[in-house]
Amino acid sequence: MLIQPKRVFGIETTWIREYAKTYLPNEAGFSYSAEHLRQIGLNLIAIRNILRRGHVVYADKLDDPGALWIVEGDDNEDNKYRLTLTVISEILGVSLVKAERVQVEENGDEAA
Amino acid sequence: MKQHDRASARVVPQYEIDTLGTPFKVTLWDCVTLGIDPATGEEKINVPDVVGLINAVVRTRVIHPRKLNGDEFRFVRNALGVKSNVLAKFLDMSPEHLSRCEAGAKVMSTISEKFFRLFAFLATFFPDPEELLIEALDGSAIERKAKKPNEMSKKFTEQFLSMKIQPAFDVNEELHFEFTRESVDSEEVDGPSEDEWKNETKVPFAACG
Repeated sequence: MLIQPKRVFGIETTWIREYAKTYLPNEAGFSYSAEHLRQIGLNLIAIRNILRRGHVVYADKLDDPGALWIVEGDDNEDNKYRLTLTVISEILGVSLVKAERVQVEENGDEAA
Repeated sequence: MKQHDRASARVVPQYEIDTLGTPFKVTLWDCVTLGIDPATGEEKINVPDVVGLINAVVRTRVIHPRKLNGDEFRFVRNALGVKSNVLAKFLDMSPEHLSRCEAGAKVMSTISEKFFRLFAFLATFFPDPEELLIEALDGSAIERKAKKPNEMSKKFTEQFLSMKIQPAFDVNEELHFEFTRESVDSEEVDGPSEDEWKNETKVPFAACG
């Protein structure tokens, strides 16, 4: 059995999952660079899925308002991604800083 | 773009969003904000209520009578966050057949497609659509978990009793849906007044928010 890393950012993970499931009937939005998304071939549907099922693996308070979070998850098609976000929870503001594909190594005999 | 940088941002009157992941054209009116991130100098887009937008797009497509193509099946499934094996089980077909339908190698039967559309429409009112398929929820649980259950029931009945899927259509006629943010009266929703996405496109069925 594979040893899973301990998920220490439970509150952040719950917050981002709820954010990705919830209607926001106000003007708080999601910010991103369209050019960056095009370059790595991601779209908002995939990002929503990554946030909906992903885990926050890193969180740190910024000097500016908000915090920097790193979320890892899959896009519903078994492709793993790592998203770096700035999150201002008070105003439900989330901004994508960087997205990158995570290469998952096959854990089999041939990998040895 | 951070929220406190909004002062330098501008609202775009008409924005054709190509980063949503739709296999058809979607234009957003008077709601997308463009600004420059002072840290990186990159242009950043701010889209309000992404979850609401995705659900509004899914509902608009599944009530449009044009037969869904493979890319559209995959788009709707991913927009709902449902895994293909879970959906295939629900539709009583093999995962391989669903995969071929999504790849465009097979055509889904009209009855399966209608069943899929019914599910997709309902699922947009739930925070976790896959749960609808995995757990066999009874009627009261469905009503309890649904966002805006009254609105859901009303629109569901309105849209699907008269639906006829059109297998034949002009392939040169591109699907194009347009959306804007509108304030919804508290009498229309199950709660206080709020903004939500409204479809502006003229489709043969009633417009849907």
